[in-house]
Amino acid sequence: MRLSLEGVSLAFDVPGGEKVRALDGVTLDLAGGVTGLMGQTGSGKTTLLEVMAGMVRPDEGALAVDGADALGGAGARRLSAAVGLVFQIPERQFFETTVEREVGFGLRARGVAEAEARARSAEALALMGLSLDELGGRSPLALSGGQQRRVAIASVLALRPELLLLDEPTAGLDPRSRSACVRAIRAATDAGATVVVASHDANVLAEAADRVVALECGRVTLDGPVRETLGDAALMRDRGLEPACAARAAAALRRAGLDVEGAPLTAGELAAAIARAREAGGAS
Amino acid sequence: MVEGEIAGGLAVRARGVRHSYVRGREDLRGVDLDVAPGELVAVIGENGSGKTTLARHLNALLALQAGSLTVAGLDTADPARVWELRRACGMVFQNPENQLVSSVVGEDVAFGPRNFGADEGQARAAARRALGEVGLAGFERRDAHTLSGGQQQRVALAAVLACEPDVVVLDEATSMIDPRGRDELTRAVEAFRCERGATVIWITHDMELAARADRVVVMCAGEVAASGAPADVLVDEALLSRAGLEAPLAVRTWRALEDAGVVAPSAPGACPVTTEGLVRALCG
Amino acid sequence: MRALSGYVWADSPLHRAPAAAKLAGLLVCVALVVAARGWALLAVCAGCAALAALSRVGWRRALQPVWAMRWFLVVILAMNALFGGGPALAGAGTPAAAAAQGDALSLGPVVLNASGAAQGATVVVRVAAVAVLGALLTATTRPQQLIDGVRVLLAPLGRVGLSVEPVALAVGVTVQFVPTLLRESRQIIWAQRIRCGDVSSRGILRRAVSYVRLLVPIFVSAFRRADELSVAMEARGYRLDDEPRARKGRHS
Repeated sequence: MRLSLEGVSLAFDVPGGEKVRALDGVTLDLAGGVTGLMGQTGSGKTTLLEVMAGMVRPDEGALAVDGADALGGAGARRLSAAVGLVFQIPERQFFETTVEREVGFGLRARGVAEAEARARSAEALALMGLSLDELGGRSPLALSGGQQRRVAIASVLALRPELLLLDEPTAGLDPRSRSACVRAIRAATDAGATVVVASHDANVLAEAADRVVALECGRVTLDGPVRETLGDAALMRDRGLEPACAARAAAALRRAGLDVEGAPLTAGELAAAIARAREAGGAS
Repeated sequence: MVEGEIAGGLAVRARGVRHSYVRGREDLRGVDLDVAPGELVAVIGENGSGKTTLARHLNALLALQAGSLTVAGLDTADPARVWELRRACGMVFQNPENQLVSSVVGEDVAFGPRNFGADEGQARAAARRALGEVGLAGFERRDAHTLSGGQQQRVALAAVLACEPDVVVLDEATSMIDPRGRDELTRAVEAFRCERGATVIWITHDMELAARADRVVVMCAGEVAASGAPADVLVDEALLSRAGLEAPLAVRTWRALEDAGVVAPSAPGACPVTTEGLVRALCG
Repeated sequence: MRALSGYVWADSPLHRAPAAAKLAGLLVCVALVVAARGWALLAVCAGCAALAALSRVGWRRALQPVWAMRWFLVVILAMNALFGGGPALAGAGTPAAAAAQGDALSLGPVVLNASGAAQGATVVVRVAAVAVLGALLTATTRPQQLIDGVRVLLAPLGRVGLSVEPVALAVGVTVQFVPTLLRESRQIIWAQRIRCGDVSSRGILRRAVSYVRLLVPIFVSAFRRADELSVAMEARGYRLDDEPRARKGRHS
């Protein structure tokens, strides 16, 4: 699904009659792949996701789904049927008595048959590294924090959204749950979904994203392939953002005299770059 | 003030601490832990491993069910000394919004000292000093809800410091704030540690932060799975994987280099755990 | 987001009035709203409008909670109009209700009922007026002033031996959480609607059903917040069961 935003601006009223610009002329074209959304708290990431989900109507600008206007009419209905949204701390939305009912809630509400709802719930939970047979009968509120988050994300994944929006999905999660999130995001995009992930965690985005967009005070200050953004420690610092840990290490090694080439994003890539640099150094 | 009580002793001494919230499930299964005064200890472990339960025992927010626990020379099972204990051991929690007692910064910071018997002048002076220590001098009259998450967490830290604690526990205090906020909080913790020499117990999922601690404690299924210097604990990938954790980037990179034969397999303790260590090991 | 936070920075007689007086005034006004009916209720509403104009917080801010509850109010009106008031459904009506009673429209089993509609309108106007009064109080009073106001109002009880501090603190904490809870509720509502593929509105009844579905997570979330806050307060030496400041000498 192709989602296009053009010149999207939005201002909030602040008590006292002033207005605060939450989004300021955001133009983005998203079609497939995973886009990482970065920026400090208050930079407009959540508001942008809300606009993309059709929750908030921008004051100015256009939102289009596959070329059709999505601010009203058929385009808006198409968007609302296709979007999946995982809010910050999504485990807050739990209201069912069992994990199975919680994950299958959206499917049943959409009239999916019982057997298929169960199969799709199991599949979504498996993607998050959990088992329906094991947890299906338990209360979602009785699970550990990491499991709760994974169940909440699975409840959206089960709907197989064509447009998947996630707001800080890994905040507060341990490494195991974090990797499960990254895997699920990659699986969703492999299945054809267009994914947007807002996150502070450069290392999660380094693994999950194909493209990175950064916001500052509601404006897009950076937009590019993941390697040219998160992999460029100097550029990220310049924008007041955190580079991937591997990119930071590569920059530190270069400063110390080891000529590490490229823009490594993971430990494996960093090790390979170091090996090449060592070889080149030894040969000269 | 209390230095005499803990001089020569331990800041924390836990022996066989057990806890279960519901019958039939043990959340802490006999924790033994010694922390020396002035130490910075990072406690790591997956969601649900018992980190927070342990933290809540440290200042008697939970009643001791079995074992013995002494913090800053005070027995946490002694109801008569709970008041003293809460002053001597301060806590900063995960969600910055949910620990603001007053929306006025100065009032919030003065809340603790007032509870511990300071008069109005003393409480205000303590608040002013503590806010200065965390880099928020002059914020007394500000509305706490208009501050960034990082600033709110520093207000929470100041609220603890205003009580002049011997031990400060940070329970995943950085997991809900952006990287800038995390760096601000880390700097504030380093500053007061230099100034006061207080003991810090930092519960975190951030392995890069754990790598900079004096000591790392790994929690797994309600037990201490390992405790030692970062250079000994964080290089044990098998142990970390069992605990649902992931080694820091420097360790993963170093192991990949060893596997590729770029560096010689290292003796115990030689594997770098921080980016700086990695640079030193590779560039001399 | 910040549009939801309460206080409006302005200067007006209402802003300058002491919080305790405003709180007492609110109680009186709410009593009037509940007691008044018919023309008297309209007069009270006019009074509310005058207060809103006096407060200089702007009509949008004053009516914001009413707008936020608009669907709830529509449901109340509809429920009353369809099922309320008529003697057939509500048993023997009062003489006044019977006089006003008359089926305006009947569509099969559904009967639109004029007296029920009037009753519904009264309830809606009352709820809206109380909401506006509440909005005016929070828009013209800082949370800290509000807590002080509660403390002043409860002071007589303190002399009888009741502990005022915890009540004042509880009020302050509740007020302080309102913007956060509103923001959170909005997100939960949208999360559920998006999960149902129900972003565009599809009928009032469906909405009424989903309100029930939303109450659970909103309450759980509010309780969790309150729990976390009470733990944080306890960790900082606050004890409800103890007289505050009872101990001395621990602080240098």
